[in-house]
Amino acid sequence: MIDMSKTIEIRIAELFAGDHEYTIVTNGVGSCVVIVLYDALARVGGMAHAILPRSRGELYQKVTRDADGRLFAKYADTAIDLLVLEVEARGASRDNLVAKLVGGAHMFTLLDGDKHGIGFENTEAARTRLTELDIRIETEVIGGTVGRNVYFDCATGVVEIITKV
Amino acid sequence: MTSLLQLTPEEKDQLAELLNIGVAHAGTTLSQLVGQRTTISVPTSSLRNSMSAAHFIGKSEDITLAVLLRISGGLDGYVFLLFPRETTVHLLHVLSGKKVGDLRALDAFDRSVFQEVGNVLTGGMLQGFEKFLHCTLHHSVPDVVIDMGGAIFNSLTATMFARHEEFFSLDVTICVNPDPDAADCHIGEEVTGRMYLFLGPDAVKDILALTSKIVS
Repeated sequence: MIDMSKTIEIRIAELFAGDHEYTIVTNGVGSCVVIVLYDALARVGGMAHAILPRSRGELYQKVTRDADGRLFAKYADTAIDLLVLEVEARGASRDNLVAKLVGGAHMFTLLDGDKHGIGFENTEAARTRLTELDIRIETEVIGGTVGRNVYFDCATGVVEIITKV
Repeated sequence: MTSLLQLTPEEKDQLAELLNIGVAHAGTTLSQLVGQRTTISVPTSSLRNSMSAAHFIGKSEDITLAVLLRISGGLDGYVFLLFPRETTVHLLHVLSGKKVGDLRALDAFDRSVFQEVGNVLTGGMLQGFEKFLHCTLHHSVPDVVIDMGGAIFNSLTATMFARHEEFFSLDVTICVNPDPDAADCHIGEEVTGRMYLFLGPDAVKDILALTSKIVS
């Protein structure tokens, strides 16, 4: 069988949306939070790799597009807003969207104290924004102390997570 | 808060001088620890801000050993050391005689070896800073993490961005037992590590206040 899927790797603070032809990949997810949105009926999905929690109201000033047309949004709340628009533009319906969250690890005890660090804040910001937009969080693989690679198949909605330690 | 983007050429020179002294001290102490010739590259300093997210140098998926220390006292900041697999394996063999193939097999003793490497390198650098700035500096107990290099680096820079909209970053390459004819480190050499110093705007302001006082 010929594999017709196109694989797109997104970098830190980047986001991408595509139809069933796409597999979206992001590597080296530590305290960042990866937000995956999927409409199973339209078979359209998207992924954002957010580095910081909240944009403090300056929503669209924090979005950039590079010379190749790649979209960047470093804040979790801004990234979700933009990702919703991107998947809707490709045929997804807001009512059918479900979310999956990955990341938010706590890798350095020295940086974050014992409990709450940037990983926790990123996760909370993503949860809050998704709740505000009434998008159900279907699955979470959040926290812990390890880094993750994330693969998202837009044809099936399956998210595969790989850890190395 | 001081914007680092507004530094004058003289202020940048003052910072560069301080960093050179600190890095030279760190190289000497590391050389004494490993009992081999070590070289440290001329430091590259850069201003990083949250719009130009830092990108990890190297393969982000490779298992890497990182050591993080917090600096306190006269200055606040972080020292971050990053050793790829080959460097970690070599340093561990030199320092403890132990041979490992996979970094995931490192036990508590092995990790403590790298805590010591962190202590020595950071202690050496801070000694240089103290002599130059006439202030007292301390560092924390080192935090050792083994994971994918990209995940480690991104976690650290995310925290830095969350605290400071911009920060000053010093980046040096460390070579252990390099080619005797080589005058400098070459990235890609088998046994290399990287050392970063992260300072927020307030720490840079403190340094400039101290150096200005000394100069005047």
